[in-house]
Amino acid sequence: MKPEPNNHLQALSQAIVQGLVDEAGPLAEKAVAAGMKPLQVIEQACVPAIEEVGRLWEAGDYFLPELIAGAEAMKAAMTVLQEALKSSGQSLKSAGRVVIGTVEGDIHDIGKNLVASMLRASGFEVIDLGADVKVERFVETAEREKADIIALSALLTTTMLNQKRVVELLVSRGLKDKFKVMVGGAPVTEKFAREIGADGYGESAVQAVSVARSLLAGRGGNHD
Amino acid sequence: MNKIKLKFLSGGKIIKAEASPGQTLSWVLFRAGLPIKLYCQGRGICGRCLVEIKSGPLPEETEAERKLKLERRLPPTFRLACQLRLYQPLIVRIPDELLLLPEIKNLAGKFPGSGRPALRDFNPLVKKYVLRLAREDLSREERLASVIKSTLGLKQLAFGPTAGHKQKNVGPSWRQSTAVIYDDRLLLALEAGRTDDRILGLALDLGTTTVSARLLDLVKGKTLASASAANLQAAFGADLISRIAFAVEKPGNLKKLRRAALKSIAQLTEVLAREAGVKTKWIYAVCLAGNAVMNHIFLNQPVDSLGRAPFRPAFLSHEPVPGLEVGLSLNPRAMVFTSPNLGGFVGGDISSGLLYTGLPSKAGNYLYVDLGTNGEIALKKGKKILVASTAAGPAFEGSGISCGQPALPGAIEYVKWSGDRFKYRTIGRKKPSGLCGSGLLSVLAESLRAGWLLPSGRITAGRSEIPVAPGLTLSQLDIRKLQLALAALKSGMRLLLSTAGLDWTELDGLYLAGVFGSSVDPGQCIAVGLLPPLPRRKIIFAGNASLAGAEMLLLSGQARKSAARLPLKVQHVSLAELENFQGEFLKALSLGRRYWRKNDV
Ligand code: B12
Ligand code: FES
Repeated sequence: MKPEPNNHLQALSQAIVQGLVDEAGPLAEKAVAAGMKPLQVIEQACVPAIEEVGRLWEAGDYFLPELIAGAEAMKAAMTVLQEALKSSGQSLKSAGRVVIGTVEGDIHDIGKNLVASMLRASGFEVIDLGADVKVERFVETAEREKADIIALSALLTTTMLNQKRVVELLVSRGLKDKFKVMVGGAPVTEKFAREIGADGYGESAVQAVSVARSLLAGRGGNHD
Repeated sequence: MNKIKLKFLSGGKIIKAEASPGQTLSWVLFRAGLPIKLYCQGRGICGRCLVEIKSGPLPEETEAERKLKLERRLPPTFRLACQLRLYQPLIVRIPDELLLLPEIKNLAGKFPGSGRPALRDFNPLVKKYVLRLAREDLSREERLASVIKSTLGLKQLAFGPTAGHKQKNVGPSWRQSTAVIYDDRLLLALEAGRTDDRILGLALDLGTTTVSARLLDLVKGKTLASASAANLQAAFGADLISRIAFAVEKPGNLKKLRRAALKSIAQLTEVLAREAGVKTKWIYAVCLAGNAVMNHIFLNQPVDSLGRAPFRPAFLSHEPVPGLEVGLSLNPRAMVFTSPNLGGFVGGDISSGLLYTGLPSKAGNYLYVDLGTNGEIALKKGKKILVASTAAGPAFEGSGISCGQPALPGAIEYVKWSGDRFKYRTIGRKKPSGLCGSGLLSVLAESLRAGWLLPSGRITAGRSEIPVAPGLTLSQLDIRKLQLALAALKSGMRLLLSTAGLDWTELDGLYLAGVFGSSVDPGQCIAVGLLPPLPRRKIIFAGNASLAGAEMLLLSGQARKSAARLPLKVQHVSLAELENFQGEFLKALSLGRRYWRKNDV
């Protein structure tokens, strides 16, 4: 078959949907080598593909392994495409800057890692502080990195209270308006999020992306 | 302030109570001696504390209640006891299944494998000796000690903490006295006359939801009665973490938890004593096997360190304590021996379970898996024992599963796909009301075989649920929750094996402990991938191993020695700190035998 541009896009898109981590990068390279613009590849193959992964997750077709594989395939493709953009003097506009971590006292990080992957796959810049992260560190890093969003994960009913402490620290330092706070994790609810004064709550890694987007929808932006 | 008058309808009775305006119904119920189970610690998210308002003005709905009713379409008289605040007189019906009152079950012959433990020696924790004493022997403690020591040939003898052995009015009955001696080293009491035909011990398994106990005649080494009851602590939260959260919230809360546990134990002991026709004051020794958190609470130790990373217990082994000091109302001089914690969330229930199986001194490689909420796993290889807890969660207790329920009459416990439908068996052959853990596992196994389910956990043929029985279906979300619980256990086992440098094919045996662990079908466990495909004879049911272990500690000196050494032999592995946990966990989410295939990469 003749290498049609559309075939490249389709193959890449499928590789991401199916989570073929090893194939996504080379397929992105092929598309660029065939003369397609990196931005076009991103917009026409990658973004719809990761959205399809999210849709399949929400529909219950996909579970964690498929979601992770999709996000990783996306990452592999994006690494190639961003490189290509850079060499043509362009750069991708970041969807926003997120500082993420699992709160102090909690070592559960699988959910947090998933949220980070999905955010990255959706064009966010993510600074991942890992698990068991002190309240102070979230705030300091967000300030230093000029983040837009602080994303907090907690899996224990004991440690979810530390999400509240982060919000409190922001308030006491007069920084509450500077960052949007987004919370999640199995025991966390929308109601709890509202009670502690968080700006957003996401039930899943897929929702985390749409919540992050809507939080930043009307913003001026903390960085350029 | 004006008190509000309330009436509660419960168990065919009417109970009157009063409340101050604004108090929650669940708190008032607790104060009125009708504690109810608060599965989400009264946070208004589990929706399980439903009571019915029979008469009175309906209080305004809270947001949690509104949301729940939209989801479930409940009539407006059904309300959440943890959310409802009282301002007006009401008559409220409290469903029986919500109550935490002791629902005592006789356990005789209940669990396979938990009959008589094989003892290596018969040396009860407390013993009685009949002594001939002269009047002056009783006048001074030192003199009494030296007389008893020389008569019984003991190397040392201390006086129990609640001394008072010095008798003021020594009548003729004291010439022949009976000494109660703990562990051949501590004089607990001196009883007038000959009483050596009656001395009792209590074996206790203090679990998060259930307390099980066995009353033993320490003269003959015979079991007199066994029973279990709900742990009344459930009024403060359903799971361990909620209990910890409650304990650290306010000073005084730890004490509340301790009192609730003591009350459960006291009620249980009363029932056992009545059943056996004995007096609780004859109980001089208790062996307690509690999980890490329960052990802490019972011994009045702070639980803070168990509530946050790195999840360290405040102690492993603990000195025996006087029953009076911890608030047990048995014989006032009774002593309590606790089975040691082993690290992290691996507690005394696991150490006693291990002792019961004899695993610490067996030659060969063995896995021990407690299929409970905490999912504790022990691996013995050579002289080493590795332990870990995997936090599987309560899915296999039916919690959080749409058609799930505890293993009670009416629960489907086993299914078989017949080609066009599931044939099922329920506990007590009752009409099916839900699925308990073994039933859920069974549905997964048969659905995989019948092609209802893909190994990824996806329901096939574009469906979104599996119809199990009339009105009972397993949804896609249910299956996802079960996958998480299974994956926690599977990855835990595999990571312990790889930490020890062992392959599952090198195992000489695998012990399954716990109530759920005793009700599963080994073939179906293997089919869903929960267990490695070992030959059937290598899978050994240990039943309520914790309780059987506690019994063994009461009766055998060897077992107590082993218990003392166990924490030194054991290495606790914190799974969270292993780099490859996530990868292993994700792989373990797949259903079926594939996970245990050799050379799986
Ligand atoms: C895996 C697991 C572990 C692993 C964690 C490994 C790791 N690196 O993360 C291990 C075994 C180490 C572990 C340990 C413990 N665990 Co654990 N664990 C689990 C388990 C089985 C699954 C959690 C998980 O990863 N789920 C999958 C992820 C993808 O889901 P998720 O985290 O909810 O994330 C999703 C959403 O919530 C959301 N999200 C998450 N974060 C965020 C953040 C933002 C900003 C947003 C928008 C969204 C979002 O997106 C994610 C993807 O869609 C659960 C029980 C269960 N069946 O769920 C218990 C569970 C969470 N653990 C529990 C407990 C108690 C513990 C322990 C403290 C005690 C114990 N029993 O051993 C220990 C810690 C001790 C220690 N140091 O070993 C309890 C918590 C109970 C409670 N009331 O709080 C649970 C519920 C099990 C139970 N009932 O006993 N655990
Ligand atoms: S809603 Fe969970 S205890 Fe009331």
